Amino acid sequence: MKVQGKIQRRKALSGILFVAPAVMGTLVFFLVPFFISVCYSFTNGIASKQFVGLTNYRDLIGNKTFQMAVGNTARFVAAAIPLLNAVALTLALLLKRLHRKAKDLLRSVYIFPLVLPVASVVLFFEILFHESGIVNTFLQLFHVGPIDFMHSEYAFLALVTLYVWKNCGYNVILFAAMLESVPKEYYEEASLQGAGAIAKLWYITLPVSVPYLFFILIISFVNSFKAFREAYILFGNYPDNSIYMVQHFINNNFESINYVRISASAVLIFSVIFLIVLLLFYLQRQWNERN
Amino acid sequence: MKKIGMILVAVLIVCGSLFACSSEKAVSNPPVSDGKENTVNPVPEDDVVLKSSNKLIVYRYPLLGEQMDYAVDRYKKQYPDVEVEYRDFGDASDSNAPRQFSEILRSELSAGKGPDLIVAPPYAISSDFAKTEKTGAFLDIRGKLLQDPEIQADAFTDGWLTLSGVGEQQCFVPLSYATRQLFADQAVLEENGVDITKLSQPADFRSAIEQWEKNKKAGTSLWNANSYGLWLVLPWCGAEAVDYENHALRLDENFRNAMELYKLLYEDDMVKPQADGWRDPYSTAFSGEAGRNLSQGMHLFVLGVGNSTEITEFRAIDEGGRVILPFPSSSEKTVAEVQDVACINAASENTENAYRFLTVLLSENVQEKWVSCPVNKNAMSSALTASLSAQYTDDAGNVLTTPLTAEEKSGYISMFTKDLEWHLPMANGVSDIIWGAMEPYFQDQKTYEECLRELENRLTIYLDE
Repeated sequence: MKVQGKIQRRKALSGILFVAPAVMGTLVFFLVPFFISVCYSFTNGIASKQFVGLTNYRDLIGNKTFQMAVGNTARFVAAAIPLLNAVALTLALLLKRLHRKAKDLLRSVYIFPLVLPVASVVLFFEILFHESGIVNTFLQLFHVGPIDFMHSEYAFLALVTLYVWKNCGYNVILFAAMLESVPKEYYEEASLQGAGAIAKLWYITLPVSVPYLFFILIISFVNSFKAFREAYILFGNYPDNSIYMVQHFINNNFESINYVRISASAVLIFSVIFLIVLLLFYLQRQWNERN
Repeated sequence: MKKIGMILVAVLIVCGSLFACSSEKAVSNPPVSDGKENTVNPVPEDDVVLKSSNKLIVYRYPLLGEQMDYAVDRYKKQYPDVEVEYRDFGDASDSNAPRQFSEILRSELSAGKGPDLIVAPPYAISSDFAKTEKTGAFLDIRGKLLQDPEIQADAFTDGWLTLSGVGEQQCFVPLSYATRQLFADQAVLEENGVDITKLSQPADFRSAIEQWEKNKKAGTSLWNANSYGLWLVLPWCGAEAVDYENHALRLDENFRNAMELYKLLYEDDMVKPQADGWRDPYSTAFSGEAGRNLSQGMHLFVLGVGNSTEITEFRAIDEGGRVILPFPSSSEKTVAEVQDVACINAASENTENAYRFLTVLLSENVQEKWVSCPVNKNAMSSALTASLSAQYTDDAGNVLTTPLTAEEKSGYISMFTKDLEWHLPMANGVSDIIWGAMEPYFQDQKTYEECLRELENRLTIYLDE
């Protein structure tokens, strides 16, 4: 009994030791700075540290540029995520029908944009969307344009295209794994009953894959906030109004050392993301319980 | 579900109580005032409570090394009981040193740390100093300085402490400034059909340049090397795109004049730099040859900033041929651009010593050490004499050391100190936005109005964020 207890304690200790670096890293680099940011967001300055309640939040919510940034970010998320997942699911479904070797090759090809350095991706998109770039040359064949994609509302289109292109491969892999997880017997049974491809997708694939779908949705949602890096390099810190995101707002305030405002906006954005992710998890649990 | 509901109710209660605690007074946005330029703000109350200690932390900005060393030395002699922590970032010869200073300073300020008194040019402290000033990072000491019996207001250049970006507050103190003058030779101007009496207004000045650009001779340039950039021309016209205090854009007629002026210079500005970094396509050398270049008609003007060596060289022109005028500004005043500032860190625990060090920096002896115009008028004379002691060598190799007469000296002092219109240097963010939006206009690809719309959009965001 004593020996068993000792072994268990030792196992627990080694477990703690293994997770300690990760826990410490999260604590030191994420949780503690976040907690400090929360504290800063209720003060009138990092130096004076005078408590001002929700004043910073009230200012922030009333700030027109912040409102525009939040609106653009929401618009981007609303446009990019469904488009990304629709494209990725279609590609995954097409991939499923291919021969195994072709499937493996295409999977690698799809993942390419993810491993490419951002700078070269941006350079490629600059060539693509420049006023005398490939897209405009193509459009001129139909007597359209040239369109200034970089400095007009079309910049939004360019950014959504970039985001979908860059993240599509990853989602294709996830969707492919999702499709593989559906037992083949279900399809065979459905075929015997005369179900078509769309009916199979709607009544078998999607309901069975709901846990995967939630996961993909959450990943896509979180990734959509990372599109700023590309937007920043491609369009600069003051892009066209249509693609001015929350991250632009935060980054530009960082330049003028307005940390109180940065903290308030970071906490606000975190709260919204956290609530949405929480809602998605809740919906997933409800679905699981119901089915 | 019940649990989530409980949590939400708790969050709402906490938010409600925090909202109740928030006060209108603590809003970081500045109150809107009626005007900006050179408005003499009422002297505010001296309500700053300084923290006394026996320590002082200051950082040595590499490009102000000599001045800081001297000031620290004097401070130590004046306050021997104070322990001075003086951090060195290297010399001006090390090109990385100023960048390192800025990076460390900004990261420390963000953590509520850093030196007690920050002494540096505004751009070294923040990418937009006027915005940073509003964040409460620095202590408002205007009232303290103006109420201080040891600070004689008359000794300082007019308007020295009215350059406020935060209502009646002023969280920084200018230590030095620069004014830009145009030096020319009368004979050369006449030869090119430029009427000297019509150079004080930006519109007339632009017409003169336009005329010169049309008729210029090969191998001649408008002015000395490296002086074509938009950032060199724009601030000196007195045009400011952003009015921080009134939270508004100033894309008015003055701004348009400045843009039209730069459009004339754009082509020359875009000439690729030569191997030695100079942009001027016509002149092979500038340093030490301004006077000769003027009198030989190679340049129409020479641009001088502050009490710089251009004056020494310029003085070599034969008596009677010299023309000096401030760079034409919309207000017909001389634009004074702040060069170096001092601000007390609001997070400092040694604010009393920081304030004392600031008064040392403003003293005549220390102010004399500044290369650009010192804000202490009494120091201007010595600074000018020191600046003009540089020797000029003519074509034959003769060293010219014409002493500065009292009349000449008083003329220069008057030129540098009278009728000034104070400006902070244009923030990099603003100049980048202007460049991005207006370049199609400079290139004749879009009209001014088209570019202005784009500029308005971007600058509104910039100002609001």
